[in-house]
Amino acid sequence: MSILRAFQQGLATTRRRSRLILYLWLANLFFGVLVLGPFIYLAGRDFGSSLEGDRLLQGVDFIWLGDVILNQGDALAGLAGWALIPFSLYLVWSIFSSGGILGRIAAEEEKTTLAAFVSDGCQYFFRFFRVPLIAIPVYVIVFGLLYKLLNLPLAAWSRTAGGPWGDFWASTLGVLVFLALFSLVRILFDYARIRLVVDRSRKAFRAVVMTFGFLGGRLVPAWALYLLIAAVSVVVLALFLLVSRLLTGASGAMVLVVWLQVLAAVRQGIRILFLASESHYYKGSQL
Amino acid sequence: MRTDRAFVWAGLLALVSAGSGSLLAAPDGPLPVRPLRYEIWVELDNAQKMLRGREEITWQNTTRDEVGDIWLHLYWNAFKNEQSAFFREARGQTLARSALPREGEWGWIDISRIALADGRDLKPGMAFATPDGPETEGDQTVLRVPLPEPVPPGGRVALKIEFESKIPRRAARTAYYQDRYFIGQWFPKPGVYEEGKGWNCHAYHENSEFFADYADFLVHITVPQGFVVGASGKLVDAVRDEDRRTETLTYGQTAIHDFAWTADPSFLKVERDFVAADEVTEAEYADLARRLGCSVEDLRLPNVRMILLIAPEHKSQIDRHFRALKAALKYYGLWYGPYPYETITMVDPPFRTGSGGMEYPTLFTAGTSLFPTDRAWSPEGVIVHEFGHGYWYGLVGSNEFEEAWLDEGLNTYSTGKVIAEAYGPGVLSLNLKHLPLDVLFRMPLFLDRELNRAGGLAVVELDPIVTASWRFYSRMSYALNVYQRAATMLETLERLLGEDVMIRVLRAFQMGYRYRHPRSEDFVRTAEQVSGRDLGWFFGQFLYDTLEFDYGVSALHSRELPAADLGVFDRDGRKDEVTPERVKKIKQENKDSAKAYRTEVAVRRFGEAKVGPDFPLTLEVAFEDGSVETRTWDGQSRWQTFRFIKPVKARWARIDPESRWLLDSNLTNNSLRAKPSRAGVWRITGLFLFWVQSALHAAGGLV
Ligand SMILES: [Zn+2]
Repeated sequence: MSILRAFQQGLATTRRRSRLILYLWLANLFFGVLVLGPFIYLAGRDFGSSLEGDRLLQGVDFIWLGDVILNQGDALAGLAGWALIPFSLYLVWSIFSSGGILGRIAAEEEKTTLAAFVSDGCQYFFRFFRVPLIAIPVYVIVFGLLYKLLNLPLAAWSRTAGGPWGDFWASTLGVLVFLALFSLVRILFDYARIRLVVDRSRKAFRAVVMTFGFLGGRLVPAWALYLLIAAVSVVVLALFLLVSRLLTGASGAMVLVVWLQVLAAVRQGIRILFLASESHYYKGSQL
Repeated sequence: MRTDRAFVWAGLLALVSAGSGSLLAAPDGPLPVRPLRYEIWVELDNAQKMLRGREEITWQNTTRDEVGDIWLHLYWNAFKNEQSAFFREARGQTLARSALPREGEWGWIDISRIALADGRDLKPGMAFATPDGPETEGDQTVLRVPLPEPVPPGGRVALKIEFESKIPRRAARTAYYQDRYFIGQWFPKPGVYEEGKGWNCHAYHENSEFFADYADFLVHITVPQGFVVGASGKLVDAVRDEDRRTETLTYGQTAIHDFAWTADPSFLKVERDFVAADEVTEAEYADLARRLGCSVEDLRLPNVRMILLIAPEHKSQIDRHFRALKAALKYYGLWYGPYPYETITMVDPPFRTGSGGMEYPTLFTAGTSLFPTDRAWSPEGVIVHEFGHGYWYGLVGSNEFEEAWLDEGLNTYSTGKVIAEAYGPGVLSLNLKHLPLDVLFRMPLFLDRELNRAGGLAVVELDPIVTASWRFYSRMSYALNVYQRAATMLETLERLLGEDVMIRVLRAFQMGYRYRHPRSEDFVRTAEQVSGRDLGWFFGQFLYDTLEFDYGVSALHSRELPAADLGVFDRDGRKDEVTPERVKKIKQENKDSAKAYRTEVAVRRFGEAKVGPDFPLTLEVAFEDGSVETRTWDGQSRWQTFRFIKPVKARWARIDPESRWLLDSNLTNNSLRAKPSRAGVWRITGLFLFWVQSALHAAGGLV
């Protein structure tokens, strides 16, 4: 199956299942608010009653940020500790929502209801829960070993670099190697999850092993598809951020907040697009 | 052209009597006392990474003491082994063992011969000394050399020294990488003899810079042909030896207290002139003369030859470097006094020598990257700062070991002023492994003083600013106290005294102590004399102590005055009781007349530090009808309340409305609103929320 066709079908499915974006975005927002809750309370208490609060409208500056660092240092440390809880819960949610997304993508009927999404999430939760556990040793091998090995010649080259350009290319290539390996690991586990849903399999480990076989013959197109969507999302992300640079001052403040939430939602759409395009590619290649 | 040694010295000495304008470099203005004269011959061994040199030092005893020995710094022994004070302190603080030099990378300096001019050998008596206490035992950076007979007051002693040094591969400020070199703190160098106290000659500490006497230097540097060399002072001679394929460059400079050089075959060397008439308008001179109460002629700047040594990879940044150096020459010159030397050499630090951002007399190192962010004012900040040390360290020779704020604090403050004046606020830059990420984000704009405050006030309670560099609680406390906190203190002083008075204070300190070694007390005295105010309370608390400064508004209430007071009152000889019903009735009858509100404001001193008796705090209270009431508070007690009767309620109250007290550790509590306004909080929450959501999203992508 051509990757462009998989991409097009992925786009169509994402559009059809766009209600999923709402669920995912709301959850993302909810956990974000949970993390920031104590901060919002402290900032409201200190800056809400101070004229300095007006500075916050202009964005980040080192007068008010200095006050936060100088006077809320302990509170910030506590905040970081607190954030571990919502972050852990969010990981659980991510596992759950992957099931929900892939379940809805795989479903033939048109309905994208919350109930259906939750039911899919529940159905696939335990087998999806095993995927990151299998992923841990893979991450260790890929980044603890393979990445370091691939970096050895780069590091050796960098050590003897004759000037800043050698240094620049060595470190930039290092970043590229990292991204390449990261995308490969992502592809592996994306297709493993797709296999678990599409083939109605319950065996996560087996699915991962089988995915090696699947990717063995199609690594280049599968990788190309992934990189294509990644490139599209990088461009979309950059456009959003460039526009957000224009929203300045007190007048742009609220528009900026809304704009960034639109971006947060678009990001969830991209997540669905990845899984949808890869699902179509998987199914197309199985025929 | 080949210049005879005696001829060069004669030229140098002629300058001492004649002033400037000749072949050799001597500073403009009255000539300082210089207890030292150096002539050094040094050869770079590129293959062995060694220096071999000999040196003739003449030291004159300018005190009333008889001096029986001479103490020398052998700074490179700081990089000799783990027993040096430098590595012991670094290990205790920041340095992992893995970051220690590898095989063949240690540096050291050996004296192979030391003798008086008449040939008497001093080597048998010489011994390493540890003047900074038993914790530096084993350190070899200070050498004590007893003399056969003491040097009487006014007498001189001439030493002949031969030395051999291994250049450290990676060390502080000096290093080699491939065939690129930066050579600083490299020659045997006497400490400063202080009358009644003896030699001030500290070990090379991790957190410390240096201290030395003013001297005349003549230095002959021999390098393999093909190297591009830069050095302190002015190039006076260059001779090629075609047999040995070497080149010997001679640099001379009077009235400086250190000498550094660099050699790198890849350097581009660019020379331009700072032409004062092009850089400063008559109107600027006239305006400043009016502000400082002096004549335009006192302010006129000389022209200066600017020499840039820069890596070819940074070629496109040549103009950027010169523009920053010109701004520094202009504003340091205008505000604090003309730059007196003929040359200034700006060095883009040789690749991987770790020598960036360092000052030496008439030479400094900058530092840039392949993609400097627009408006981040880097390398501009480091250029202005390191040039500025030519004033605060170079010309005013304070003791960096013992009172580092006198150079770093004054210079961080001055750097911020020049950058703000010449460039305006800068943006924070954001890079990932050399990749400029800041093109995507709107990075915050800031002035140096804002960042200095945020950092400097974090260490107020750890150490006084005036603390010996190696005696701070931590490297962080050293850095933030002597740079940022001291700069914030000076910024506050400027706001208390006024900008013009502050420039006069610094100018008086600069011009009064050029080529001398002032202490902190001299700065305090100058500030008091020039401003005509008692500032003992200020420096006592902020320079010599660890007290937090924090004033704030703690309460603000407006209540409607009742139409009448409740209770029993003696009226016309009988008891008249006013009941709530009566009050309601009176209110009803007077409902058309204007209401009145009693506003109460409480201000507090949260910190231990106090404002000075002559510097009361201002309290501003704004009311709903747009009126603003102003009161003053002497700030000596812990709290004070203020009452206002007005026909309207108060909207807000603010103490120190002009934000003079940048030293205040909590500016948020300086004002209080009657009704909270959360728009700003929501705005910033919205921004942070997005970044937290992004972090969550990224984390979720891993599972
Ligand atoms: Zn400095």
